[in-house]
Amino acid sequence: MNSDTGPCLSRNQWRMSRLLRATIVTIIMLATSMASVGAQQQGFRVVVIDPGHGGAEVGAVGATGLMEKNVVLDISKRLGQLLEEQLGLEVYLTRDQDIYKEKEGRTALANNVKANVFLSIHANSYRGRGVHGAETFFLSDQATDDDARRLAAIENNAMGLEGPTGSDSNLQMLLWDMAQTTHLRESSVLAEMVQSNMNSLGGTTDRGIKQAPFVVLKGANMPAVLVEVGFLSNPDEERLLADAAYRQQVANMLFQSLNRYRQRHASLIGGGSSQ
Amino acid sequence: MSRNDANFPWRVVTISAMLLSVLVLIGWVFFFSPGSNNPGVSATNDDATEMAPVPPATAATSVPTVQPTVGDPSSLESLARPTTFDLTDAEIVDGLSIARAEAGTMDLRLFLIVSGLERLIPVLHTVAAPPTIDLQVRSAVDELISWSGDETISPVPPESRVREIWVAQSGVAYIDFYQSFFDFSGGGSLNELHTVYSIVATLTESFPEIFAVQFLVEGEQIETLAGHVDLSHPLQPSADWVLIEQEGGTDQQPQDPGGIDG
Repeated sequence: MNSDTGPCLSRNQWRMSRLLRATIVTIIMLATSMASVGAQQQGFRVVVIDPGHGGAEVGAVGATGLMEKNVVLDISKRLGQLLEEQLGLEVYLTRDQDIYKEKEGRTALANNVKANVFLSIHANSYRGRGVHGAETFFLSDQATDDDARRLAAIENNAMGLEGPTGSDSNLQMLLWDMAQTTHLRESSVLAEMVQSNMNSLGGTTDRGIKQAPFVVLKGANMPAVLVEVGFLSNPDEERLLADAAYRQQVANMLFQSLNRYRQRHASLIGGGSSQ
Repeated sequence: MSRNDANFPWRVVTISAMLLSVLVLIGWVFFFSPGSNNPGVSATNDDATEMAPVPPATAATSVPTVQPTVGDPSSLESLARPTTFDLTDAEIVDGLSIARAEAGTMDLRLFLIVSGLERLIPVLHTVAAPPTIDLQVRSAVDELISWSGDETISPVPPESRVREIWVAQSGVAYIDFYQSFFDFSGGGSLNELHTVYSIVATLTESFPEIFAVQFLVEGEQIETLAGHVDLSHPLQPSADWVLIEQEGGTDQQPQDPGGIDG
């Protein structure tokens, strides 16, 4: 009879639809979490390039008047173009013209766009003209790990000295200071890669990888290095850096090192994002 | 048993599916929730899951759990003391500068550039000792500024002029320069590193009661001297840039600061 089978079937149908809904929700959640994992663990897609100095802060100046701020902006643009065109990466420059940007703002940009790496490009200068070569820095432990800073932060506040950017709270300052600490090992790996590629560039010598308390690396919440591509105080290197073809070679070397780091990144997390 | 069978355990299957959904949801929220967008100070660390694990020594040291009360003397007392010198007895600290004043002279270690060497080299230099620690430190900085040697060069610009110097009980020396220090430092990170670490090492290695140096210009804190080295907090000497013996105490482990939870 209809009255016997009808309600039974509709109950089953109702049960099936409930099961279907539960399954759909499960599938959606699994897919979302997989996508989330994919986006966060596998994607190497954002690079922030920081051309050092800018505007009134000219940086190093060579004997012929060649300025660091202009040299590094040109190299940064060339590198950015390579990364975009050849790897399809999302590239941000902390400045794309001759203007001054606060150093903390440069790192904040990298944090905001969730960059996979932060590369600051500089040119060096020294009192002795004989000093030459390229070197790559990552943040020193001391900058993130000394009691002096904590003690002095309190003393400075007690004395009414304000930080250069008007630091509002010690805690916030300390959190900023610590952003890079969890990435130091990866930063050192990236620094090694950048330096080894710079070494293969004809015309410059290896000054190695080093650690220093550089303010522009401090707040970066991702692997971050600063490369000094050469000495403008050295006449030979100033001549090289004045040449657009050489600056393109430098950009090529930096491109290769970032590509190597990207491949390592992909292999570490199980072969994602291979292009 | 077929699916049309009235005995098919729909309830069990449905509950299992719902339970699985909830578990996945919980897992997703706990492990993959997006981090804060707060620039710079994002305490949640998305990339921590992305990269190889970091040694706990760099990740966990000096994590502040409590913000010390500014200006509260008890919070100053509770902070970790420098391990290079015991500052608990102010008389000992004063005693060092008094002893130097009574001796009439003091031995300085000036950290200078020697051609061909990457790191700054200490040069022993004996000068007359003024009566107080503040004046003694000022004398050391002035020696660096005015230094002229045959084989050594001072990395501190000769145009630099000291406005004021004082040494806090904590062992931090405050060096306040006139603007010329800033203007004449020139560009380049190597120049900047040498200028800064020459002053820091000269003071910490010449005066055992000093363990760090805070730079100021015209009474204000500065972010950097030439766009690189972070000068917003006191600096301790670095063996990367100056030739110093790394004693056990130089590589400081943060003491457990009293009054900080957890």
